[in-house]
Amino acid sequence: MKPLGQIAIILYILFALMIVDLLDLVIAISRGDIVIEPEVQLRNGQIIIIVNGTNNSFHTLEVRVKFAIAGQEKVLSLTLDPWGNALRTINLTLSPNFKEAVISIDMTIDGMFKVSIERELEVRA
Amino acid sequence: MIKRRILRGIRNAIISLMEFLIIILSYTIVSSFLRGLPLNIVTIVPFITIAVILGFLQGFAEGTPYTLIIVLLTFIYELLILGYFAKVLVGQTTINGYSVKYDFSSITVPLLVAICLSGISRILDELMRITP
Repeated sequence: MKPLGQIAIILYILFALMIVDLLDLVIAISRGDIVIEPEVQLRNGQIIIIVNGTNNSFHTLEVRVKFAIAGQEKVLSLTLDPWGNALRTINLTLSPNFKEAVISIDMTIDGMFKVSIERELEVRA
Repeated sequence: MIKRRILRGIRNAIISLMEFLIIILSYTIVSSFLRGLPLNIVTIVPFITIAVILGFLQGFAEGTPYTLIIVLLTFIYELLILGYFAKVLVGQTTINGYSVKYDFSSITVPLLVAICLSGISRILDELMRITP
């Protein structure tokens, strides 16, 4: 049964590498190396949704930001490469009679780790 | 004869100690960071102690009919540890004042396959040895 044992050793090594990757990711998040800044602005009667992402780590992030504003939902997706930045913007024509938007950020890091954040956001003029 | 068995048991216990120390220590460090808790090495001592005892028994009982039982016990213990730590890797924490949900359990997949493969390999080896 030697081949089974050899495959197991390779998988143990893979697991050790994944653990090191996860440790680095957790340290990067707690140090604030990965920043996702969603913003909702009101300019000339138009709603502008902005997502600004900064990644100062070795990890690749796929970010999906869902905005729920005045009963409407909009999704912005961006990919943050290692040591990269990304900015996404959408213009919306909505009645500007609201002050807050609910956003949820879903991140898939290195294709395997999942992190999600949900919070309320104030609309800035 | 007994001295040789004890020596073999000690050798196996050291191997088990190394294997489990890497797995449990890395999980402890990750969970400490995730939950914002200070790293508490004492919590891993019972896990390591059981693993070392099982490793010693495996070496000590090598060549006897009891080996298969100990190999099975070790396999079940490894799966239990994996299940316990997979639970730690899914949860909720607060980072910069925001509530963050995380799911890092996918990391356990290669370890689960590795434990199953090495467990099956050891059990089959034992079965082949004891069957005439």
